[in-house]
Amino acid sequence: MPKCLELQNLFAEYLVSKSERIADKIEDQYRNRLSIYKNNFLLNGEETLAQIFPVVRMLFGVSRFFEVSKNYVESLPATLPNREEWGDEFPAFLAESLAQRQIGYVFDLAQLELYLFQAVRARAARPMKLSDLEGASAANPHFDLIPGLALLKSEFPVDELYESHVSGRIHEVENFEVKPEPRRLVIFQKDGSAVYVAIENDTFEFIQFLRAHGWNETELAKFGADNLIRHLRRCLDLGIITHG
Amino acid sequence: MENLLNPRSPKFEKCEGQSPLLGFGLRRSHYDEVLQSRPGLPFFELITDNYLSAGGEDQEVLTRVRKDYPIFLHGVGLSLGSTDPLNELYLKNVRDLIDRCEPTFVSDHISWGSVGGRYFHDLLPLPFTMEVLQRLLERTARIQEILGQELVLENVSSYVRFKEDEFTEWGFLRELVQRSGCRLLLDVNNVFVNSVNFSFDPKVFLEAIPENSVAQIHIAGAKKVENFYLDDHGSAPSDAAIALLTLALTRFGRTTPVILEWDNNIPSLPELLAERERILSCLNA
Repeated sequence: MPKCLELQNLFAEYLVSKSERIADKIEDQYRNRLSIYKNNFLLNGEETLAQIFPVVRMLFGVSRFFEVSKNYVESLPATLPNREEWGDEFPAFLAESLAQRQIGYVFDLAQLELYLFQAVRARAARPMKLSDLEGASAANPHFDLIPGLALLKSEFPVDELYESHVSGRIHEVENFEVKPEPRRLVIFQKDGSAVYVAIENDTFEFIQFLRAHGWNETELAKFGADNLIRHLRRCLDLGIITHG
Repeated sequence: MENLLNPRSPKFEKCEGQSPLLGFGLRRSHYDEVLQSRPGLPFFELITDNYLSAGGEDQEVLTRVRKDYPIFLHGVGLSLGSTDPLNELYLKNVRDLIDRCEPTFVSDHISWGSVGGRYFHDLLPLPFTMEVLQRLLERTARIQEILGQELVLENVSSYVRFKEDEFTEWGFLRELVQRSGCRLLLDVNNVFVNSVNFSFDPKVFLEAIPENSVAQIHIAGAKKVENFYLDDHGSAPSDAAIALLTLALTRFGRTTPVILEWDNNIPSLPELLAERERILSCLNA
């Protein structure tokens, strides 16, 4: 094994666990500074998660959030070079951790924050021309799916919870009770910012269908042109689709 | 994605005899003010990794900023010294970004940040050995081939040295630039931090670097902790770092572009501009 590969593996092992085998490779007088790298690793991870999940952090409190972040950083290091593309599994990690099971809506709230964060950095919209579809050709409609589109179905009023925390209306969350109230949200990018819209079930399912079939015109033809245009108009009104 | 340039988009130019060219890294907290006030700066440095997505606020800002300023791209995700294979998708995204905004310089660090497919999002130290030197030479050649542009390499601050080191840091950098033909983004604050952390004379470091091999210079603030410095980019550059910058400009050319980096405790834009003026007045004194 090349020496450098061995050294990098030992360094990585030190960052994500308590192993200090890397210390043997370090000049003696600098060994005590190794912890700087460990601290940076944990703090950078927490900082990134705090940037993506500010409301969850507010809900948990700084020290508790740091503990959860630390466990996450050590358990699931990033697999991509861009730190802002990390954190996809954090909502599920939260939901699985014992202490958080008491707060049933945390997973959905974290998922909403993740989608909002991702929407801001999403790639450009995908266009679709419907001119080939029977019945739609006369209007020659051309639609763009809004960038960064994500869907969230929750048993809780997750949008209201998010708004409450962002606006600072809720300070005491320990005894905060949330009554189940089903929500279907579409999250997307508009004018460079992330937004979400609450929608009815049939529109949710329509958009789910769009995504599942990769915004595919042939698949959409199964809706029938009239039905399709009706759904698209509703999405246009909500700002989920733009008409080019 | 379309090219962001229009006939008005400026290109970076150096003129002999002019004052030092000092710009700074564009940070998200300054977006609105920069777009409104369009401060008189010779260029902006942008963190490459923040602009690799093709949509969103960052792209909107890049489009608008590029119309009025030359852009330098500075990456943190390349993991140049890693033993992993190069991340071709990342490089393709960087190439796309280069094609869109035609930066004057593209730089990243002489460090590593990933192994075994895991990324640590840090600039981790490399041992200064022949094995590592050879790997850097091979990878920089391949990266430049993919990017279609020179890769400028930055020296990093560090806190440990490895038992297996075969070179001094400056000896290693000299070999790297001479053999690769790459130029350096010389971070004088990192030279200062390492000179304290490892007890060497920073002038020896500067004198070891070939005169024609520095394309850009970084300067930043660092934090003193017991008997060493942390390179935290959270304060104004120290007098010692500015003195080193003066020496570097004398050696590598007074018009070498200098970038002030500030990533923690980021001041307001007017405060940052005032700090820029202070550094310029020190350099012109």
